[in-house]
Formats: sequence, C-alpha cells, structure tokens
Amino acid sequence: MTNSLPMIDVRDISKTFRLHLRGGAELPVLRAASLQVAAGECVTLHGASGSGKSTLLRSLYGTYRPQQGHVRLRHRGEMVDLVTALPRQILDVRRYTLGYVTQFLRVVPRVSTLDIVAEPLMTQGNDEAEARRRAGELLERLGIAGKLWDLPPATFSGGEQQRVNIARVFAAEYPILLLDEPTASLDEANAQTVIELIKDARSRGTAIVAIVHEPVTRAAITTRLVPVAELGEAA
Amino acid sequence: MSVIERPLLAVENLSKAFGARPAVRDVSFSLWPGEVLGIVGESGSGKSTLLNCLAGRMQVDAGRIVYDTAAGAPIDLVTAAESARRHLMRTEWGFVQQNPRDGLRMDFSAGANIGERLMAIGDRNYAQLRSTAESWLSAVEMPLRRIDDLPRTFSGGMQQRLQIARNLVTRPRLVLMDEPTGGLDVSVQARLLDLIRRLVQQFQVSAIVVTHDLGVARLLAHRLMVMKDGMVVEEGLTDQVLDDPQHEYTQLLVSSVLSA
Repeated sequence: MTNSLPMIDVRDISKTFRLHLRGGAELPVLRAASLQVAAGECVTLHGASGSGKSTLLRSLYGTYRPQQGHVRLRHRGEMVDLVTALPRQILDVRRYTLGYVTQFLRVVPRVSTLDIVAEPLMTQGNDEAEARRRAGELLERLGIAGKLWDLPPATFSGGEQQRVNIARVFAAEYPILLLDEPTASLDEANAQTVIELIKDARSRGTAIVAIVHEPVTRAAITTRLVPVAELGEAA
Repeated sequence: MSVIERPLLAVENLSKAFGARPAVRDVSFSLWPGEVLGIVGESGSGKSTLLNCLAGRMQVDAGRIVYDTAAGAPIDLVTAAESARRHLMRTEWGFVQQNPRDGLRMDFSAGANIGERLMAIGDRNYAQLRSTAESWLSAVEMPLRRIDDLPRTFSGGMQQRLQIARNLVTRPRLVLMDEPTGGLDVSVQARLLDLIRRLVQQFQVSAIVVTHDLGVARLLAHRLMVMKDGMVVEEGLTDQVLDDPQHEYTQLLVSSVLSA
C-alpha cells in the first residue's frame, strides 16, 4: 500500500563538526542533503561507516543541529522544522510524533522494565493501567518473561535490553520512527518479531527511517534503499 | 504549534559581582511550566550564585526575575516587597540545598521538619499535620517509625530525602536544587535521582537543578545551560548539549567525563 502523505522533509541540510579540542579541526559530514519520506514507507540508509547515516538519523531526532537547511516533520497536522523549533516544541514532537530506537538502552536506575516501557504512553496522557497493559503486550510479544517485568533492566543481557528498548518505542505507536540497528543483538526468532512490528507500523502509515546492516532484516523491511552519499553534494 | 502559555520564570540580564569580581554576567533565560532546567559548569562558573540570586538569598546588581505567580500575576522579584517575596518562597517555591544540614532544622524531629512549612502557611491541625508528614515520609521512602527522630540520627541519603519532603509538602510550583546528589555515595545517588525524577513528574513541578555532574543532568533535565566565568556559553535540549556540544568549554566538559 502506498500512502503519499509526506511525513519527513529534509531539505539541503549541512552538518560539520568543529572539534575545538583538536585545534578547531572541521569534520564535514553532510552537505546539502535532502530526503523525503511518506507515510507507510521504510527508507533504509545505506553507506560505509562515517558516511553520515547516524548523523542524519540524529539530525532527524533534533539531537544534532545542522548549520544549514531544514528538517521538517509532520506533527499534529503541520510540518514543524526541528532546526528552528524551540526546545519545548521539539520535546512535544518527541512526545507524540517521533520515536527513536537507539542501539543501546539508556538505563534509569531502579525503574522497572514495565515502567520503562509504559513511560512514553503515560507521558502521552494514557492512564497508568492502560499504559501498563499495552507495555505488557509488547514485552510479551518480544519474549521478555513476565518475571522480569518488575526488575530494572540494568542486569539484563544486551539482547534483552534491546528488546525492552524496542518495546518502549513501539508501544507508543509514533507516526514517525527512527531505527538504529534494531535487530543487531537479537536472535533469529526475536529479529523476526521485530520485522513483524515494523511491518505492522508501516501498515498503520508510520514513516520509518532505518540503519540496518543485517541483510535479512534489511530485505524484509525496506521499501526504499537510499545511499547517504547520494543525498546531497559529496561532503 | 500554538503555545499560548507564559513562562513560569523569566530572567532578564541578571548580573551579580562580588566586589570587582563578576560572578554572574548578563544571564537571561526562561523556564516553562513542567520543565526541568539543568545548569552545569565547574566550581566557580557562577551557577550556584545564579541560583542564590534567583532564590533571593543574594541581592542582584542588575536585571529582572519575573515570576508568574499561581494567582496569575507576574511579579519582578528583584523589586518586589520583601514580605511578598518571602511569602512566595514559603508557598510556591522550594529550595533543596546540597548539604541537608543547611536545609533542615536539625533540632526538630523529621515529622516537624515536614510540618513546619505547612504551619508557616497557617495549617494548625495537629492530627492532619502528622498524617501529612507520614504520607510524605513514605513518599520519600523513609520508615514511618523514624518520624519522631532528629535528622542527625539519619544517614546523608535519608537527610536529603527528608529535605525533599520538607520542600515538596506545600506542593511548590518551582523547586531550586543546588547539587542535590553531591556528597552522596553512588548507590544512594541513584536512589535519590530516581526519587526526584518520579516526584517531579508526579507533581508536575518545574525545577532548576545546579549540578557539576553531567550524568545527573542527563537523567533529570529536559534542557541545559552551560556556564563559564559567570556567563551562559551554551544552551539547548539536554541531548543536544551533551551529544553535540558546540562551545569549546562544553566539548571539554563532555570529553572529561568517563561515561555520561
């Protein structure tokens, strides 16, 4: 199914890192890069290490601030430019519109797994019982045993932490998802579950931008493979 | 996006010097309802002086500190009458000191420490005060049987939790915290951080947290200001400042941390 509603509109962004501690060395990573993503698409970024895949993903989340260009995302029915938005507008976009599965779960001391997964749902205004119910559904689907739900994930294995991370982001059903190697530390069965979750999200109209090296997942989820080096002028 | 709300606190061109030495130089920022703002920087950067100026513990040399009161009437705390300012500090603001001994009454019991702020705003029903104190002791995970004990019999972590209960009991709209986890063991810090994070969310208080610990800033703050030599050299969302620091000084701070 194709749904052509534009969700992401990156126009001519340039990002150069200036390293003050190395005598002000400049490291240009993106130059005039543009990318449009429609609802229901899953764009996979392609390119060697250092080609700018992560820089683009972090710019889409608003963590990296490009020196030039625009990063517009569809939020509450209008396109909001993260490059010029106020900090609290970016937080609002992240609360309701934009989910980011990073490679590692940033663990909050003492907070239980179930609460970590339920938290985004609660900040969206769902009541606690409903948020915990949906969090439990996702954890179950991702094979995190119920006896682990009350424990903080600090002591979990890498694969378990990654699944908690995925549950947390997918439970909230954001209209735009950024995925950084979502299946990297998972076994085949769990990777398959994540592939299904991604397909379900696409069929709801979620726009997805992903970095995936692993060939099976990449083939299964990608609707368009985009070489990062070709997004703009060579950096 | 239509945002029609007003900032809870608007600080404009605030300056403070100690003799010839400037400590806070021309600082301006806004704090929005529900927001946790972290102020980071090394000792001597002016961050604690800024906090003390905001709280009215130090007189400012120039600038405005406009606070939007619960009654909906913005007031400049720099020029406000001392009585009006003191009343706001007791009712709508809280201040958590780094050293709990500075923020607690060491010769009052735990229960009385919590009840005092309520009594200061006119609460006199003893049974009611005691039950409120009990519910706050449990909110900050202290055993109820310690309610009549003096703070000096508590561990540092417990004293700090009691200080937080004492501050939050009047349900302030704005809490200032000066290195709230400083001087505590790492495991005690983690528990306190989690508690602060939960209470701030639950009661929707806005907060300004001064810390030199970037890990604490990462966990607690939505937004950061980086101070050096009394000036704000960089600001932005917490992940923007810590993951893509622009200023030379911020890059130095971030690169000096083992893992944040």
